Amino acid sequence: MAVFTCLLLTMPLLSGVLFSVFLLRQPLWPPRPHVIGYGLLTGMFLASLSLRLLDLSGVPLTVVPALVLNAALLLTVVVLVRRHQSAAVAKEPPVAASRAGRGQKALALILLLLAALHLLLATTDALVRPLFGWDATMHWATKAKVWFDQAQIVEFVSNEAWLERGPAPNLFTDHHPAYPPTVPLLQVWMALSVGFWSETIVNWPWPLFGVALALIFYGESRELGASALCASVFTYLLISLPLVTAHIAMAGYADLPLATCYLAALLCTARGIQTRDARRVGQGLFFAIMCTQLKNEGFFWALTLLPAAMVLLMPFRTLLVTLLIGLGGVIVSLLILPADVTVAGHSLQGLELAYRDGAASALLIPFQRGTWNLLGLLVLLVPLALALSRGEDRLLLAVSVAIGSAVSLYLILFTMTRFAYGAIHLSASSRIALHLMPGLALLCLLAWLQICRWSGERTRAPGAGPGPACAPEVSDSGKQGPIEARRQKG
Amino acid sequence: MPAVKTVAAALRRQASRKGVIAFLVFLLALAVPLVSAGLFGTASLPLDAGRAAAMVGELEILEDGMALRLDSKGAALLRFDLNGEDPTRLPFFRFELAENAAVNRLLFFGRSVSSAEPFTLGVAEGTGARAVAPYFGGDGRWTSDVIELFVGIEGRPGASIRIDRATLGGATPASWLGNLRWGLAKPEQWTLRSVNVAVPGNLDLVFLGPVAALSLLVAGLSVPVLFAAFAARASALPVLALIFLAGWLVLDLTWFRQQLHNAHAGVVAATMHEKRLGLPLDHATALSRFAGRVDDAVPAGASQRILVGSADEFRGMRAAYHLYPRNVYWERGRELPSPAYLKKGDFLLIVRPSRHSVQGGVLRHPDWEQPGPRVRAVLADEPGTLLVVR
Repeated sequence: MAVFTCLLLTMPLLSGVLFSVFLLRQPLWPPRPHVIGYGLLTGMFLASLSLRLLDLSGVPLTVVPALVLNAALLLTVVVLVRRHQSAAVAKEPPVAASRAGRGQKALALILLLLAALHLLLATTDALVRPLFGWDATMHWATKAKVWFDQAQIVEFVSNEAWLERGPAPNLFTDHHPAYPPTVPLLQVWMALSVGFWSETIVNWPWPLFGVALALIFYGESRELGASALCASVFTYLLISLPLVTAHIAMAGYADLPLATCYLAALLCTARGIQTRDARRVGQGLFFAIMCTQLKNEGFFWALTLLPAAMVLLMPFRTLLVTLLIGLGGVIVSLLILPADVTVAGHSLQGLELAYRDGAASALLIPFQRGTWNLLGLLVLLVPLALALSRGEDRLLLAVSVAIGSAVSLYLILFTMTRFAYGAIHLSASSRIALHLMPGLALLCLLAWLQICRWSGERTRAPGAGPGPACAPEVSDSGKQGPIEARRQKG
Repeated sequence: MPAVKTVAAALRRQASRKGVIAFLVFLLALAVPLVSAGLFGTASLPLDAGRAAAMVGELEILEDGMALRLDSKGAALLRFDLNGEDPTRLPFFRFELAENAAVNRLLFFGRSVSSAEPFTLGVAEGTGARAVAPYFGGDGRWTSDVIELFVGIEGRPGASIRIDRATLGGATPASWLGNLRWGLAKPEQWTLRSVNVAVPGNLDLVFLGPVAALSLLVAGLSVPVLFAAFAARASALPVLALIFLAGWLVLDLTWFRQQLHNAHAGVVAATMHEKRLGLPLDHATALSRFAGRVDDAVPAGASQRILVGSADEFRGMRAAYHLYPRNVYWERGRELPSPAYLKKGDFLLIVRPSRHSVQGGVLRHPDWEQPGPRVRAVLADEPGTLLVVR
């Protein structure tokens, strides 16, 4: 049993990491942090997808079929990596060389240790505390318990349908029967691995999401040209956000998985387009699709990748015209579509569009109470950086457009729809904001790098003092980070 | 970091004078609205024997304080007369208890000349601190019309509480800091709200919250740095980053404390056996055990329906959760569905509190227009009753 447990737990993760190595054209050794981060994320999604595949094929969700399928998957990925490894690795530009002094290295290490301590404490909590949160036990784990027990993905229907259709062996109900299946399937994966339902062991994916988030953020920060200190600072800022670790400690919600997945989708799509790397764009699309499979809001966050992609692909005038046409199209669609048409679990009729008094000010309360520490101050960097870059830093602009679109949707949701209740009563607004926080932290990092570049240029003027130690690092090839290196090569 | 050294040197030289002046101007700009709002002032109003009375519970006036006995339900309500005072100049309340182990919650109400009914000023949950120091001026209800302050106390039934001090005061550095320190409070166990508002404490009743205080401090310290950097033609960014990071770390310490408290509580609260099986550690333990007995009492089979009803949403939901993977029904916002949907052989779990009752073997609910089905009790205990439809 212990062997089965180890195999079933590790095989999807290993497949994910190797698949990530293949997609990112990275060497197997030494492993880059973001490659492992993407790998963990991919692996968890592969675990849930393999269970869906088994169920679609009519095979019961038990240990042996799951092991066989995951072994086949692992074998395929191993072959893929072996075939493409040698040719792929050479194309990757070198990681920026470190020019940090001892003080900076020590500070970077301390901050990474603090982030690790946050993750460790939250993980400890998750692994000793049974499922606790309201939604976790109201509509996520309910499905997982039934699917694990029945060894199949049986149908969940609304309360009304369940009552009307009468007693039936494969007909179940809970409060949100139509929610996407990925989160319960991750819990089923855990239960299958150990062979029984445990209220604490099913929490394991949440610490893994936390680790993946930290690794992706740190690794990609370095790839974007941030110094080790700068990457450490921003990774620490992200991981120490109270709600990030709270969602690991009180596992069972879909919000942290969605936050990690949205960051991955945003980074892979934007950087893939920027570096003309089809594999990375494909990886971004995969994560975008997985966003929709985690929570209904994921569909809308995935949509925000479209304007970001347009910013990276189109000249400024074409972009402006296209965005205006797109916006007009959205408005016209809203006006002509029947109000009861449901998109990703929401209909216009159900949203009851109208401004709710008190909702806007209630959205500020979590910021005032420290739920996001001082992130509110850091966001002030973004308009400054955008003004300094004058649209030249397309990645900054693209991420700004994506996060800006998502924040606009968020504001509409919590001030103009019936979901304003969740803001006014502090029951949902911060959880939903959590989906966007890693993206917002990325935006702040890009803004900081832009400001550092501007400051570096300014202070390098004749007679000026020393420039900032936090400026984007110079790579071995004498250019700025790998993106700039690629851009100049291109 | 050469830039840090350059800016530090510039701060020490000529440029620092301008910086310090700018910093003082910044502080002055912050103080102006506070002064104009009349918040500054060292006046204080002792709410002693002459102004205090107990509406619920028994109050005894002592030489150096007051003694309050909670009633048999564990409640007391104190009324403080504010007649003849302007409460807007006295927004900080200080309530010191000699022994407060018996107190679970404090509720603050005000009553104005124009309103017959008292209005809520705030609630202090889990009052572990000896001194409670809320700020009442936050939501604009603490006006000069307020003539009475009420303090509701919830705690152990019949407990005696000694009140050392009850005072209303103006804004002084001591009252600000006392209010902030109390607001941050000690770490708390996770609650159902923690997944949305993670940071604990009584921050609704804090004048200048930790985020606002640190934001102002960061902004204030940045002013001389910018001046110094400008004068030295050096980059201010590293120093600004360090100031910001220090502010972030200060707030993060409170979060570390909270995380450590909860991780430790989780680790020590259960035996290894409980940890492995993941038995509930929360307040729903009794409910989960009862759900286990219900599970044993209901015949096996995926089509065997169990319908859960309760007037308490959390208890109903949690009881239903513990019954999965059985075929369970629980609906948010109402108890059991209308009788037309209840079939013979269905098991009904009524979780307390509930408005359902069984009279003469018939299940009833005040909202039902007709009597419900005939039922038979299968199991009954403190958390609820299991019935089967006949």
